[in-house]
Amino acid sequence: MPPSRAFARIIASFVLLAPRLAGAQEPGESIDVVGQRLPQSARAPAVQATVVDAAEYGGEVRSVGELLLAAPGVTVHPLGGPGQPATLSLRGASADQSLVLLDGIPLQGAGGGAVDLSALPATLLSRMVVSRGVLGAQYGAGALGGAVELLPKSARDRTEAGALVSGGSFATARAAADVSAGGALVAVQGDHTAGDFDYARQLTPDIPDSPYYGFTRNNADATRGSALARLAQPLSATTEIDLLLQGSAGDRGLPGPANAPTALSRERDLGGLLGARLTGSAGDATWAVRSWGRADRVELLGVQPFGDCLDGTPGCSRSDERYSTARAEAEMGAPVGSSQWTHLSVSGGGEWIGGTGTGSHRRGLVSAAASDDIDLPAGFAAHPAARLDAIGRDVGVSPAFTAAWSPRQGSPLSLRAGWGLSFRAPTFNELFLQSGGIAPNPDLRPERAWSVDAGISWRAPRVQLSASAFYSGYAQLILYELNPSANQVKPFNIGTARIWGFELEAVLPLPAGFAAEAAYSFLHATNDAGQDLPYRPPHRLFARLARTGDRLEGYAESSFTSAMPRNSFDVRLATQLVFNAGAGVRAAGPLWIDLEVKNLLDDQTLEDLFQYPLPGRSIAVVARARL
Amino acid sequence: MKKKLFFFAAAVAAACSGRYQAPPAVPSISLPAGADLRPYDAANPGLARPAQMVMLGGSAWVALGNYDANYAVRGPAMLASFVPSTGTVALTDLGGSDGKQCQEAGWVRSDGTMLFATCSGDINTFPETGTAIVEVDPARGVTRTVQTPVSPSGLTVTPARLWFGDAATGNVYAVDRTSFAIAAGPVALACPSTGNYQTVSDLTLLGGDIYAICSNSDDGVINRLDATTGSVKDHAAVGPIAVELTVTGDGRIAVVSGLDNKLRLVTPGSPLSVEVAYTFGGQTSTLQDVKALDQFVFTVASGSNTVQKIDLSARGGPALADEQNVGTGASPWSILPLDDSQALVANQGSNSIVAVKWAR
Repeated sequence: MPPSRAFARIIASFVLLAPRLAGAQEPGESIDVVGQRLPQSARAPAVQATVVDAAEYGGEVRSVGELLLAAPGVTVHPLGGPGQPATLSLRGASADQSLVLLDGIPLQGAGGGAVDLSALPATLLSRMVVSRGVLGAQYGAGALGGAVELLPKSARDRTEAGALVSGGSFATARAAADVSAGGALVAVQGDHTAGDFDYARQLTPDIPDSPYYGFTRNNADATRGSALARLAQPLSATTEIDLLLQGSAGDRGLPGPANAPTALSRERDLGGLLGARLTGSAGDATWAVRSWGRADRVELLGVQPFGDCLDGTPGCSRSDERYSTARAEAEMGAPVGSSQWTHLSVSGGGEWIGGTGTGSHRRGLVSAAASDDIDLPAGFAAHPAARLDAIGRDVGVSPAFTAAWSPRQGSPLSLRAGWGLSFRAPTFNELFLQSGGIAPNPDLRPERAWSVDAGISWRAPRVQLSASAFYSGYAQLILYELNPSANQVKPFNIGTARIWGFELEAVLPLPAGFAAEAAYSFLHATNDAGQDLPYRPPHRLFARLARTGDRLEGYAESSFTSAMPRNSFDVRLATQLVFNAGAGVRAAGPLWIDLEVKNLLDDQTLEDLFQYPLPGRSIAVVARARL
Repeated sequence: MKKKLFFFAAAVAAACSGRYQAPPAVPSISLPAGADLRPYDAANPGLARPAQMVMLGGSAWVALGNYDANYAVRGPAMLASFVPSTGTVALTDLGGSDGKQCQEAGWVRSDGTMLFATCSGDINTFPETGTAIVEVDPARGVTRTVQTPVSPSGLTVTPARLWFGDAATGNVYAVDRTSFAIAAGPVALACPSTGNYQTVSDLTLLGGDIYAICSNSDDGVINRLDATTGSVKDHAAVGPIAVELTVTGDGRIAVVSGLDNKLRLVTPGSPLSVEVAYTFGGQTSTLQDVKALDQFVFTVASGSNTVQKIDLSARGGPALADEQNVGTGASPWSILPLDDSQALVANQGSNSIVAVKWAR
């Protein structure tokens, strides 16, 4: 059977499983964001980073993936419309190599790999910190493209509450509420969409100017509920306990590619995490201990390698994958002299998977990390760091060095540079998943990567400008390749990549309460043969003009993604340009009414990487209030 | 020289293709399902999964895979035959006495009298069962079967031998047509120098030589072989996942490559010369098959459910003459031109045969 045929057979199942394939990440420690003027995580000083403040988008119906588009270096790959899987790529790294952490706890898919951004509740978040580069020393093995830290809303002592309801096109609705008092927070979010948007396709695309035909997406509905609870209480003058509980459950159709839709395939997921952290200080030193655990379950119903089937009928077996991880961490920081701060941490735990496709497996997780923040003369600061990670049998050290210079204390001007080296251990899916056209490879070795970058930024209270450039080298990349003897794809350590690029970011104040912001990314990603790496758009531009005010708010934005290769042989996905706009008024007291339009030009021909259609124009009305 | 060759070949082709067009084929032909496919377990029948086709004696013959949506072989391999203008389907069971001597038929070829089919086997069994080459008399059914040491991929018929490739390596083998036993192989082809796997995608006979493709997702190599010994005489690159080849009306070889979306033309000679004849658009995906008739080449793209008619004699070079969509989810696998105006398309997704009438 020629490989093209085998590829065609397996592609449907592979596409469905792709967001869950691969990517071991390692846990981290507590995180703090050091204010808007220093948009970076305390875990990764002097790295190139961007903070996305969720409050800026309060009147808009946004997913986490849509919020992240405001940051340079980020590519979000949606697999269809609202509620459908979406994955993240940082600086051209794969989704498995781009860590996502919720309050410092790494999130992974059911197979230990890529995180589905659509399953993350945007309204429960306060901010997102996007840190770019090979950051294994700072975040743990796996952060080859960088890390996104999701900071949930904080528990406050004073009483505070908010609510939001929205409804719009394709029966898409959201309801969210949060209340905080006495150091406790409870927040919930519910989403539903029928997903039955119209789209257009050419049936004979090789004929020049052949007509587009209209279709309606079927089996693309999605329903999801999420909840977050936090409790932060001082135990003494120097110690505090912080509890975090987050859960999510979803049910959605898996509509398949437009050329071969799957009307019967569905996915159900259920997951949650629980974490407890005790922090304190002793003199000038600080310490923290934390333990957390996560559990996720994903069921695929009516999914088959070649087409779909009716769940419950003979031969239509379910896929049921359960993934869990738990870890305990201890960390401490202490000054060394007057110009040095040393930070040490250790952690240990394990991760488990059990399922119809992977079988049952477990492996231990151990890490030890050390870092220094050193103030040097003449405005220089140095931040050496190193981390040892043991993930099952794979052991590696991730060193890093970042440095910054500023002409004086408080100056808006700063220069930053960094270097990092790290690895990503194979995921459970890559090692063990046997499903339809996908074969496992238990002999996989870790991927390895290094990067160097440098940047300059000007961060005044309202004006923020930054520019950075980077180069990354990847080796032993795990790529799926056809095994024609078995009509399956199988992962191998065969990939290489060289990715370089630059990132520009600007936030400028304008009169009358307006502000403009833009983020531009350039990527040049090739393998050793000089072929373009698929799914990496060379150019991406996000531009937004927004007004904030006491009575009237509004925004207009555009997102441009240049044509990108779908494989290494110059077969390309077309350029995409989308305009969104919205406006809101404070109708009465704290009640705001907002109207927003996405894909303003109603381009119904947009498709994602796997030729899944994307929605045309959608309209939503939002009512929100905060007390 | 090429132009002279073309006119000569076109004249021969015109002489052979008859004065009149083929009668119109019925628009759609449903293939057997359920008990008609003689499932091993009556509760779990397979699906027809039509693959390659060939015309013989006024009937179209289609190789049937008979496996389910999980690629589990559910019954013996079969050939379906029908007269295109009537669409009445008859089945020929290739499975032998236990139904497992030939499983998952892929290619079917003819020498003008007999039919020969490859059986890819059941990949879910170890050791793999049902890998074979089967000889079929269109009037009497299976006449001879030879079990093959590998899963055969591609097939071509010479007067003395049947040459087939190995789906899992870059080797080819030959079956002696007199003894119907393995007579040669493994013979190693020139293959891409990189990549974890190699596969022989297809073979054909032209000018007394065998042409065979060895490919993977990095590249593809067309080999010119001695038809008796299989020794490699020459080779040239033809693109990644070069999946099928066919002899064109002007005596060249057309090759489709599924990963770079290109149709290439190989001109026989020493050395072989290769030119890109046509590049498909980005929306056209997963090229599967190529056939030729007169000055036209016909291609199949299963990912986009499309089939194309490409005119090699168009002014300015090969150009798309027409394209048709055979239906969402159809997953077309192969094409069989009946004449310059119509073709049959075998769809693995919808388990059907549809007739395509070209507008141009």
